[in-house]
Parts: sequence; C-alpha cells; structure tokens
Amino acid sequence: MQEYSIIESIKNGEEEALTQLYIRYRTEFIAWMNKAYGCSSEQAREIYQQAIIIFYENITTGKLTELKSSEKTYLFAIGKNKFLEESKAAQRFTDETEDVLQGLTYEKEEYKEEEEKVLVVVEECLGKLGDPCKTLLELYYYHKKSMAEICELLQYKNPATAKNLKYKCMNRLRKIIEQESPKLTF
Amino acid sequence: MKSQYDLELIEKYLDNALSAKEVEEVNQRLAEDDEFRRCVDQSRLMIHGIRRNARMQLRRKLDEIEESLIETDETKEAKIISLTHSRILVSIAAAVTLLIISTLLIINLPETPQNLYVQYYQPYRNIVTANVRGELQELSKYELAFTAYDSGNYELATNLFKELLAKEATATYLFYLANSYLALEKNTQAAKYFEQVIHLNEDFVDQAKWYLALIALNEKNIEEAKSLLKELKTSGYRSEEVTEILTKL
Repeated sequence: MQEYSIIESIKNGEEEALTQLYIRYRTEFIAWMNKAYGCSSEQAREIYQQAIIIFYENITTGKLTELKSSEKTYLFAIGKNKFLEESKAAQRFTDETEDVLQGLTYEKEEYKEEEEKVLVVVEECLGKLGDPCKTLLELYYYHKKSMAEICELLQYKNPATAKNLKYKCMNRLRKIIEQESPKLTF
Repeated sequence: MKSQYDLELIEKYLDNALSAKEVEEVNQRLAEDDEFRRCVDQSRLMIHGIRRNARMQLRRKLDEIEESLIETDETKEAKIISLTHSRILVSIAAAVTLLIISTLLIINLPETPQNLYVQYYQPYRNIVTANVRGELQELSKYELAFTAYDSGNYELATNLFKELLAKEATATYLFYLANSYLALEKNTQAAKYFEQVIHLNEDFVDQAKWYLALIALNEKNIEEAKSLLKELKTSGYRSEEVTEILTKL
C-alpha cells in the first residue's frame, strides 16, 4: 500500500482513518513528549489532539497533498512545533522540522475581544440552525467539500441545488443570529 | 438589512467565486461603503464560527476516544494493584502453608479450579491482522478493532467487534469479541460468544472450547470443564496443557 492512503482516506471522508491514526501513535507520542520535553501526560495528550486536527485540516484544505515522510514524522513534527510555540521557547524549530513541515500551516485561534463575542454567538446559533443546514455548512466551510461532493453526500439532485441551499442556510443562520443578538448587524 | 444582491455578492466574494467584473465592484464597495465592509467582516466571522464549531466537534470526538482509552488504562492499573495485593496474600498464604507442612508433615493440598484458571489463562493472540506499526494501510473498522485488541484497549475492542458483527456474523469477530469480554472479566458475556463460535462451527472451535473450559474452572464448574477438556483431548488442541489440567482435577 502506498503512503498516500491516509490522505486519500481522509479526503474521502473516512472518519475511521483519523480515529485509527489517533490510536496508532498516541502512546508513542505521549511517551516521547514526556521524555524529550518533560511534558505531563495531560499536556502531551492536548498537544497530540491539536496535532491530529492540524494534520486533518491541512489535508482537507488541500495544503498537504502528499507525504514526503511518514505520517508519524509529520505528526511528531507538528507536535514539537506546537509544544515550542506554547512553551514560548523563543527559538524557531530546527531546520529538520521546518523541512518536514513545509507547506503545513494552521490558523492561529486568536481573535479580538469583539470578534470573540461574535464567534460565541455564531457557535450558539449553529446549534439552533439544525440539519441539513448545519451539516451542509460544515461540509463546505470546514471539511472543504465541493458542491458536487456535498450533493452526493447529502443526496441532492444536483450541485446547483446544494449551492442554492447553502446560500439559504447562510441567510437562515444570519437571521437566527439577528434574533438572538439584535445588536450584531449581519 | 442588506439586499439579497449584496448578500449574494458577499458570499461569492468570501468563497472566491466572483467574476472579474464583480471583483472590481466589491473592491470599490469595500473602499467606499462602511456598511458593506462591516457586513463582509461579519460574514467572515460567521464562516470562522462554523469552522471553529466543527473543529470543536472533532475535538470532542477525539476526547471520546481518549476517554475510552484512559478508562482501559485505569482498569489495567487497578488490575495491577489488585494483583499486587493478591500476590502479597498469596505469599502470606504460602508461608502459612509451608508452616503447616513443616509441622504436620506433608499434606498434598489439591489445586483449586480458580488457581488453574489463573495459571492457564492468557488472552488469545491476534493472529488475524499483522501488527500494525508501519504505514497506515487499509483503513477499516476491522483493523481498528484489532489495533485496539492488540494494545489491550478491550473496552474499545468490544464496541468495535460488536459493530462489525452487526454487519457480518463471522467466527473471527465472535471469537475476539468473546476474548475481549474475558479480558475485561465479563465471563458471562464471554461465554455467550464462545458458545456462538462453537455453534457456528467454522473457525476457532477448539480455541473457544478451551476458553469455555477455563471459564468453567473459574466458576468451579468442574464437570463442565472436564467434559470440554475431554473433547479437546480427542481433537489434540493444546494436548499437553489439557492432560495436565485433567490430571490435576
């Protein structure tokens, strides 16, 4: 089996691929973080989860299309990077890590106070939005599925129907936000 | 409230789906129209909110896996602790026995069936999937179940084998599900599935009988254990151990 299978599987939306990946390197990763950086097991687990998510997002957004090294090397490199970032050990990661992580990026989850307030409202309102809208918006904006893929996954007639529905769902979400939080203008 | 035209325009802008002409229009509006710019910012935050919420869902999923893994770790630790305690008890018992023996000459104490169980029980090794250490290969629930089994995460393994069984009832799934239950000391459930393996009469029949015999020993069900062991003696499975136990009973 080729190395790209993990990327293919994740792209195909096989959730188990991610679960399996998670279980496979978890013990080793935590032990390595304990030993190499003196992390507590809890801190190591937290970093490991972040690393898995970054790995996933880089695949779905198409930033990572092929593995130049093994998935383990990637995961461990992301973990190391995350740890150094969090521990504010000012030095940048080593050349070796930089090489491995080439092309890998992730959104820093830092927002201004005002923005943070809006985000919390959006997240609350998503719960009220319900399906199929919530799933559709997640598939499009988070899992980066194309309209053709969404159409197949949610069994719509054609991509144009899905696209039209996405527009309606965004408006519905906007309305819920306005009702819940009239001060916010959307 | 924005016009439908504006909302569509903003959404296309954020999805990078604008035509060259529309790009020009949006750039101009962004430069001149405060209200429009604010609406763009808010819509962008809406998308960020959708993403962050989805990421949190993924995190929760990982947390769930983590919880089931930690639980198994704790069960293991608890077992080790109780084992240490029972070891101390065993050594005290051994010392007392020795004292009795030395004073009252040799008394041949019969081995209890439970001791036989402890002596002979070992979870059946995974002979189905290769030890998955290298690159991720076929990504299936099947491999996942055996990965969990191999790493001693029996709680997770039972769940996964049950899911697999719901789709297809094979002797392999039944047998490893039974083994996972046995490792968790849920003997009743284990016995139920070992019996189904025998009933199916495909693979692992002798192995299932062996474990049923051990369960019977552990429950002091000597006659049943004997009858199963005699069946095994005929088939020749684990013949040395089978003969050993039969003589001790």
